[in-house]
Amino acid sequence: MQITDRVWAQLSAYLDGELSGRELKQVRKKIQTDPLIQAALEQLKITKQILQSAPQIQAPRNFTLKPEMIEVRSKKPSFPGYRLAAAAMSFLLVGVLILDFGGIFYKGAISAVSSPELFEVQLESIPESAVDAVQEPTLLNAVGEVAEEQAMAEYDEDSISVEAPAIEMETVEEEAAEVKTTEEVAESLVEGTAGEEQVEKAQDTGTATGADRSQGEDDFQSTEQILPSQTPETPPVVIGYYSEDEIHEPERSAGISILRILEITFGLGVVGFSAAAWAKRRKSR
Amino acid sequence: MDLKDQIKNSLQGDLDSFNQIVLEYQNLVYNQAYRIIGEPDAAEDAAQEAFISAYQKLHTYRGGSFKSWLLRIVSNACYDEFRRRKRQPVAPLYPENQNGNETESVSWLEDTEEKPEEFVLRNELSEAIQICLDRLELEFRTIVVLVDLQGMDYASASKVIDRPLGTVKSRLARARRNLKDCLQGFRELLPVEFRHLGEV
Repeated sequence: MQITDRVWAQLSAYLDGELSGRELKQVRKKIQTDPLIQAALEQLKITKQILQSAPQIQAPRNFTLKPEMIEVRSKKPSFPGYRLAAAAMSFLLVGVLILDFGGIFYKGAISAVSSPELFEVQLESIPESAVDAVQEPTLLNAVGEVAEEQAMAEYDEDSISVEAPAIEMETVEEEAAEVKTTEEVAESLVEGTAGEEQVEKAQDTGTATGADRSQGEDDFQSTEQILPSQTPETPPVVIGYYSEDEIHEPERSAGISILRILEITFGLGVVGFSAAAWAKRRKSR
Repeated sequence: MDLKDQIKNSLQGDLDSFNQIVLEYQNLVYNQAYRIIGEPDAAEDAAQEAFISAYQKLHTYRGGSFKSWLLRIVSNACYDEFRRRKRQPVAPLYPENQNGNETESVSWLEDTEEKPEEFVLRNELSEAIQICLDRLELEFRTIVVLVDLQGMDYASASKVIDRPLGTVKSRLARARRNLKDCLQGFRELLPVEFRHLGEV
């Protein structure tokens, strides 16, 4: 019968006093009952003794340090040129990324948090295409999470009437009245960021909803059709995304190409200089 | 001045204090390096590198066993030395057969021109052990050296090589088995009390 690796490991650990509890009892029992294991333990014991009998070798010289050893080490070639260039490229890349995405997120967060009313207007005025937009994973979706959750909380409170099964016409009237006010909200939002499209959109929606109650009802129903398909985690995100996408499209398309080119350039720069520094250092060793 | 004060002064840039630590530990460090690398010159380089690293990384020492902390640095210096030598090969650590492959047979341990008696006369038990250690994989060798030659317990060895306790336990057992087999080839060189080292 052969001794398994596990038993060898147990015997080795037993020899070093590294076993305890049940395992120790098991091994003791095996040693007492199995002559083969007894012999194996004896062999390990001898091997260990031979190793321990190896003479301690004297260091051939003193290894005390001299100041120049430390200085030489600290002055070891670090290829600052490549490293600095890589670091500079990294900073530039981060800056461009902030410019590219930071602004968009900021605007998205502002519009989502500060105007729950606008959310409702957009909810009502969003066509089916908005549902498609949900399925498009966007950076905007990912980053505006906090703002969206906040807006969602407000949205949920405000839109209880929307989710309630029995809907009264008064509620619809109130909704329509609120919609009118969004003309002002939209204007304030548009200032400095959005194009005229949003103003027109908000105006169109407001006018249409306010002027015709039945239209308001239709809008409401269309909204209701969208809502059940939305999971509790996602619904308002769609709206925020939708409006932002539309509002900022002209601006983004103008700046994107330059920013993307810069991002790629700086990204390649970081990789290139880092690789060069690494290669040079490796070569010098 | 005790070790604590020496470390404290060294951290403040007192090289003399650190050199006192060097003098105290240099045999331990050199032995560890020699047993892992197996070549005196390379072991010297590794030991010197280890002390330079230790001085520069002294701020990372957070108390506990200074010996374990230092041996960890030495082991890493040895691994670096191995990597460097791998890139710039000098001579094979293991004997090669006619095809240039490393041989696994114990027969290479037998020197045709040198009888075991001569070996004993030269008091080369230490070398015999080293030859067998060299045949182990690097990490197995490091564990055996730490536990059997430096007398560390499993927990300390585990910290030094940064591996779980179970790995230390199993690799040490395998290493000892391999050493047992290898040392059989040197049975005649062993002290009398060890000569009945046989097969199981």
